[in-house]
Amino acid sequence: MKFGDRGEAFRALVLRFVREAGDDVAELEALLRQLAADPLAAAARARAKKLAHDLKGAGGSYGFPAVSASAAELYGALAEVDLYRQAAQRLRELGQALARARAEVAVPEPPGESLP
Amino acid sequence: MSRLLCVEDDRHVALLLEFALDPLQLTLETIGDGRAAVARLRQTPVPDALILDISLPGLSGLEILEWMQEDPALAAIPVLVLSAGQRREDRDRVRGIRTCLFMQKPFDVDQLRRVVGDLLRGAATAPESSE
Repeated sequence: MKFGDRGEAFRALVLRFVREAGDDVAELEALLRQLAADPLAAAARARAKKLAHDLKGAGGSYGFPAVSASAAELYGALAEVDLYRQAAQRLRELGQALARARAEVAVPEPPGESLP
Repeated sequence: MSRLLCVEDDRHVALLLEFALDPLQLTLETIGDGRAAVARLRQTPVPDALILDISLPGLSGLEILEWMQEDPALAAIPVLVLSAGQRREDRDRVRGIRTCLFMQKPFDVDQLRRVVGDLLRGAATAPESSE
């Protein structure tokens, strides 16, 4: 056994990690549902990134490299959500700039146009 | 008995560090917030060594390191920086500080214990898996 007479203590730690990581994954599922409904929900995105980042660092340290690898992929995907958020903000600014341009040349806003 | 301050906000990693370092018979103190770590470092006795995560609430590990460099007493404390991130510039900044070592998460428990033991003896070298 890798840790000799400390093997049982390590096993208890691993069992705790597996149980609590399961809670983290359940929370991530809820957060991703929230982000699917509202991709700009900043608090949900930050919390999801924190959970994914922690699982990435801890999983392999507890002997589960696949947990770290999957969490790293998830973290990367959440970073893409950040890019989407930045793009959405740029798009809003573009819409506002276009609205100002229209106002300058006195062209009315097209009806029913909405920007994210 | 050596005093080690562990600045780590992930409870899973903090527990694993406590387990990994138990055979070294250290006085281990764990803090999970960057600003709280700075407040602790302003007190005496200062720790003999630090384990420092980069991603922390309050202040980042890199900000804490920079702050420590302004005080000769704190700058002399050996630090093992842990990170789950992949930013090369972070690793390079850590390696640019004479008293610091960098270790990537996830880490091997036995290797971490060896590195911390060496760090406390003033004989640490960069871990092989740190790239």
